[in-house]
Amino acid sequence: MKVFQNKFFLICLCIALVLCTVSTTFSLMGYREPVREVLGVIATPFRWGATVVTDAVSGFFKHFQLQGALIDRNEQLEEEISRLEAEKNYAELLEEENKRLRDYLGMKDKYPSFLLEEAMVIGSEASDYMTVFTLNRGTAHGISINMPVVVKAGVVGYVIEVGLTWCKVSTILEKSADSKGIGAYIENSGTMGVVIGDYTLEQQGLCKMTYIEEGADIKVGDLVLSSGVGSVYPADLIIGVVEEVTVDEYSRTIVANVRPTVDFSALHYVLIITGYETGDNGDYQKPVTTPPADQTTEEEDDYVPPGVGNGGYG
Amino acid sequence: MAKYILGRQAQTRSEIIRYCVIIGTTLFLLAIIQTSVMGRIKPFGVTPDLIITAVLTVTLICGYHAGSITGIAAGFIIDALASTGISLLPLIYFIMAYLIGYYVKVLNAHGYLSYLICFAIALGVRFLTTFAYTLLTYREIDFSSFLLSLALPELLGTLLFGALIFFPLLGICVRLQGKR
Repeated sequence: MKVFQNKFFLICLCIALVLCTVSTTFSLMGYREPVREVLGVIATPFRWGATVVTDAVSGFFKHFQLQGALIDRNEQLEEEISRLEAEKNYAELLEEENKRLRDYLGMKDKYPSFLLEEAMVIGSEASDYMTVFTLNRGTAHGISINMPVVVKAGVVGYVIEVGLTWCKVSTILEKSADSKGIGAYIENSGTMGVVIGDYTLEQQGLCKMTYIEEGADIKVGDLVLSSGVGSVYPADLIIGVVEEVTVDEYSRTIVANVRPTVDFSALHYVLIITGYETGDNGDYQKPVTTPPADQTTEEEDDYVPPGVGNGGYG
Repeated sequence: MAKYILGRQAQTRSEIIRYCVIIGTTLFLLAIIQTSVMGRIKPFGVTPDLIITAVLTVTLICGYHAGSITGIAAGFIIDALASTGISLLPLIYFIMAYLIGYYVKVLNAHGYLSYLICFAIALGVRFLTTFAYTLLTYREIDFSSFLLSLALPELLGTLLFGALIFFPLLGICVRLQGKR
């Protein structure tokens, strides 16, 4: 090993060993050699400068890294927003359906004797105010003419025309030659009358209660309910609230303008009363007095027509 | 000892001083970069060894005498600036520089392929140094973890940044030799 036997190697080895030994010994004893101390002092400003430059440069690159991260994060958040919006829309749909079903349940609770068929409003036939509209239920669903249509808020109207999968409903605001009135009474006083549509009032979203006995006690704000007299509507359905009490200038009888409790402009789902229990024996009757000839069935014949002669109102 | 710094050929005192100043300053700056810049950036999660490249370059261009002395000085500087415990680097760098320089001289192995082989040997030395330091510090080593999280990233960083500083250092050393 000639390589390790020359003088230079041995001298250098000794120096290196001494340096290592002294450094390690001082270090283990917790002291710093003077040379190290001097070197450290000299190096400090350089190290400070290097650190500042490094931080600045790495900060500069970090800015771009951060920008990339922010872009990624932004994309993630946008996806998240899209997902949440979709969920929100779905939740709103569910909420609407839930509300509708609760209303339906409310109706079932409120009128346990009713046979109800839920229907969706799929069209209207009025320009300024929805007075006749179309539902997505027809004879295929057991719907027939003159069946009352209600919502939780109150009476909507009745079926005036029916097809296989659709039917048309005339609202209580509608005034036509063959429209039926509703036998009604004032909840507070028990005053009887008939609620019918009126050309003039229809535009204001009102209908009128007529055939009120003279001297009847009617006040603005009184609740008007169906009396069950007639062929179409069962008793105790909410019709509306008395908004104004006047005297007919021709007949000199009392007329009450009634604002329906139903908001016809916001109807999306309604309930068709396909039958209701009468008496104590649990029999159901259909609210139909004059079904079309082609829709009469044996089953319908089993039902007892509820009305007394309609006399022009239902 | 001074006559060995730039080889056995005659040299003036001013040349020796110039050599010491230039190489010393270079080592000092590289030590600053290694401890302050690389220690902060930590490419690949570790601090690459720039000093070993400097020692190797001086050894290859200026000879094993100059390389050995540079190795001792470099080890001392880096230990002084960064080490707080056991000091082995002056010895390791010296032996590495001496052996590589000696065999390069004996075999007259100049050229980039030889330099590349020498660089690989230096990386091996670096690997053993890291292993020794880790063993002395932690007593027990999970070798796979050591290899993946420490040794290989360090070798990769040293190779990469060593290659970056090799050519500027080569220029400095060749210039110093030319002044002789």
